[in-house]
Amino acid sequence: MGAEPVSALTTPVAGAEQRIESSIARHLAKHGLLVAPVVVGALALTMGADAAYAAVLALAIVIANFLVNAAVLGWAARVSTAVLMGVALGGYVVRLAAITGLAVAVRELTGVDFTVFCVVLIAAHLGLLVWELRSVSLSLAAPGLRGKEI
Amino acid sequence: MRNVVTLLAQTEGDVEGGLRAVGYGLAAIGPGIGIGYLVGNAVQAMARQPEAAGMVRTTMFLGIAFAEALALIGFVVTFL
Repeated sequence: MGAEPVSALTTPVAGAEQRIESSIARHLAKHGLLVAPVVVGALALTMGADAAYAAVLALAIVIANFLVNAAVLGWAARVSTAVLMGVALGGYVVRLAAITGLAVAVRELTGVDFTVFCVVLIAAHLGLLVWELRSVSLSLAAPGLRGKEI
Repeated sequence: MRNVVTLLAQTEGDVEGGLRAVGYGLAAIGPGIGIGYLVGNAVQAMARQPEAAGMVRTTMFLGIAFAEALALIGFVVTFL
């Protein structure tokens, strides 16, 4: 009558109740919403309304992608490690397909500059991540410095 | 003769579109492999050292997002 064997299919990740991914994604979204008016305004002034609409769509897709990824990974961590692995890879494929579908739809739209859309998509994704890396690395290096914020 | 030229031009366009799709597919393979390695090693790390799970999940999430950026770059290069 020993302890029950640990199963990767049923054992949640340690500390799974902490919403770590969601916290990071909310932080990313907050930064994105801070930057959005500046980017959209600058593009509207320099390149016109088509570029501004494209930037709005690209920023919305990038932020939604982060939030969905965090929500799905957080849920999977609370279920089990095996589900976490499956959801991480499956989620990548599904989200990439969704982004591709949305981008193809945006390309067909009139009144949206597709080149600006693509450039803002990449720049926002990488820019927000690099920005987030600063605060995450600070939190990991000095956990007491930033309080609860990641 | 005109029909042949039209057909060739159409075929060239189709081939170019197909090649773009193949290129995008190839560009998505690398990040997929990277995410597989990343998550596999993260799960292993969490199993070996559960007290570090929070830190591992943080870096895992950011790593996935960075790997995904490669696929997005492949997508942009394909479509532009």
